[in-house]
Amino acid sequence: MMGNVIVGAIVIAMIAFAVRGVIKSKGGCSCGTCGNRECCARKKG
Amino acid sequence: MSIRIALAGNPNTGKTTLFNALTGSSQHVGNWPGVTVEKKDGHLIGDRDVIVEDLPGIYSLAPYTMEEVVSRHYLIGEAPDVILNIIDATNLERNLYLTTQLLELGIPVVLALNMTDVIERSGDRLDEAMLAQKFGCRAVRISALTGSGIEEAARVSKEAASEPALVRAVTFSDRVEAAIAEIAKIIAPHVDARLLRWHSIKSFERDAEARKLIALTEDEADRVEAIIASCERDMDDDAEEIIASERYDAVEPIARGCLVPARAGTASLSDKVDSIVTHRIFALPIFALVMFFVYFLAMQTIGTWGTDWVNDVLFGEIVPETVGSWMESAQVSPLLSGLVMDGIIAGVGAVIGFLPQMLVLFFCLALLEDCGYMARIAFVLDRVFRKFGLSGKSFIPILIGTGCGVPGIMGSRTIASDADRRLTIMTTTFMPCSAKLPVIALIAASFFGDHGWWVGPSSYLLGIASIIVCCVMLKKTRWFAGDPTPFVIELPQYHFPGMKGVFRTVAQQGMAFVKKAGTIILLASVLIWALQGFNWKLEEVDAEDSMLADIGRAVAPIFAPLGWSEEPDGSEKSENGWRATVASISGLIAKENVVSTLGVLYGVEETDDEDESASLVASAMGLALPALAGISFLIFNLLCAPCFAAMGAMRREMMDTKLWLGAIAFQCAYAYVVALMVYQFGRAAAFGTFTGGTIAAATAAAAMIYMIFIKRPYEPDKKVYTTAEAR
Repeated sequence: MMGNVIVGAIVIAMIAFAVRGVIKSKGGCSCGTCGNRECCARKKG
Repeated sequence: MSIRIALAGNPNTGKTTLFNALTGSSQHVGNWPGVTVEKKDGHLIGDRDVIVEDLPGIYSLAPYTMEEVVSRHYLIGEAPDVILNIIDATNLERNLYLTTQLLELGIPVVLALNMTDVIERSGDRLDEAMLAQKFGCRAVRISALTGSGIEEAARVSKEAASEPALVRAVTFSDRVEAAIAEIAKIIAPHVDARLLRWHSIKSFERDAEARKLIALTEDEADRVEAIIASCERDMDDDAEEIIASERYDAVEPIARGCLVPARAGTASLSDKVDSIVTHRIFALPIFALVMFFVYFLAMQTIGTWGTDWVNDVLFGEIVPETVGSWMESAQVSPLLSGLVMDGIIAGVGAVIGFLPQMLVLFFCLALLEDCGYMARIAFVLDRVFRKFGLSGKSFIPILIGTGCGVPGIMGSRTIASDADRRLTIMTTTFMPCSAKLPVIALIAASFFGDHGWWVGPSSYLLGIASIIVCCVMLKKTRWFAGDPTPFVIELPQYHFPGMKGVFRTVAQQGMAFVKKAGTIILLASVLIWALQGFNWKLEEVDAEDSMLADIGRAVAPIFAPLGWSEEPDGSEKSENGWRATVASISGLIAKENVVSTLGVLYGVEETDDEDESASLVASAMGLALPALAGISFLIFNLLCAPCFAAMGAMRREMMDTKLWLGAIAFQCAYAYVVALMVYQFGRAAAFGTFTGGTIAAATAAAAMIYMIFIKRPYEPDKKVYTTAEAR
């Protein structure tokens, strides 16, 4: 039972983190190479 | 009160390197012109009141391409407090041409003489004090690469921000000065006093965009035109030519006086190397050899050792065994355990496994770029591209696109011709981006094992060949007709790569890859796992009876002619094709998903619980499809529509929804046709099998040959982007 709770919580946290990352990227590429505001999700300098 | 410092200068003079050094940012730096196509800003290290703006490189304030428009629009419209003019000190004359124009903007200018380390090594003598005195502004020696002089440049810029600006850098000939003075009298009521001289000169040059900023009456416009026409008659030349040539006449003696070469007339080391690597005959074979060596390192030796360890040991033993045994001891439910093992670890692990190969590849490409070799390749390929209707200018976006298609597509802004720009946008993603590398590596490992060294380089050759073939065909349509735009590239001096910048690039790209695996790929893996584990009534079932299998089977017949529904022995088995179909569709979200989806699907099906690894996925896939079908699968995924992010970038840059949709449809159709031809002709050659698919492939081949050899039916499109359109 405890194992299910721990693994379930970890999986939910990972999925939530992944969803947050996708939303933050706003459809950008997140390639990390350019930093162009329009194209890349990385924060500008 | 905040101070805004604008970094302006010619392309590839080190503006972004200086920007990174001043602000602590990590914007991408490339050793070729046109890397920066948008304005970027950051705060000066140690003084948050100072904002540094990095502008795209420009050769003059007469913009021709979209990124040049960005720079001019900012300098004229937003008027920064000071311009830090980055000058490539090894090429003083051409850089000072822009300086003369920046000094006319009524904004204080500081000259930052970059690449002085190269000057010192070559023994040349640079007199920055004389330069400062000639232009009436301050000059600082810097080396953005080594970091020397940049603090001084920042300090001087801050001081200059509060000083009055000079507005007359060049005094033209008496006749021209008289004309400019007359024009100034007419336009004075309509412009800001700060920009009166600049507007007067631009009006004299008949700069249409600058004239739009002044609301002259018809009578005033006629008087201005009469003044220009009179001067042109007297001087027997075009007004724009007169100004350009007098600027160079003014700059040339200054440059000659301030930079004294140690060995005038002798070829530098860069020139000697260039005589070999840009040789008419040897250049392309050398490039092919270099790229084969890079892929040998990344895909066959160093990179593969790392990938084998990650696949076989890390995600083959350590992670599954540790996590699996812990979940077993904690009595985690089989459903949850399946999600973690078969969904997350199998999917994400299959993609992460290729990280070592990618890091080696990124490192090698960063070295080639930073030392200056890649700029030579753009020059070399211009000769090849031009024969097929595309200029070497298109190679820069294509080269950037090997990292990621999105900045590659945006890099097409440097192309002035509308038709060429759109053509480049459409074809840039044919080159394999880093996200497609795992797909290439998976297919190479699945079907060719230790003999798959040729798959990687062949994928890039296929990309270049596809760009050429599509350009030849599309140039014959009315949307893309036109002669290639002229290509002028300044070849930077070779230098030893700055290892800090190279490692930063590799780290950024590697981190972005890992981040993507933890976000979009993880989500897609979970979704694929759920869809392949349940039926429409949400009952747990085998993959063959799942929702995903139903979806895949509905689409699979479309791809059956590509061989995706065949057994390795060549017999058709429709149940098998849905996996490859689903993987290709998931690749539209992000190309890495092709591998993670196969990781979930083949990992679950062909291996037992604890052995999911990319290498086992590869062997499972190799057992499920014939090699020819594997190649057609790779070709389709390399050439079809890119991921959603790249499709979005295509839409923004094409600025035409219909054309964009047409471009996506064309890419998918082209990918399908090429994969069809390779599979059907390959099968016919190997087994003598002729089917309806072979006839379809032959028809498609005939249509392509017709399009390639038909004479051009449309007149060239001469349209060039203007400031107003770019806005």
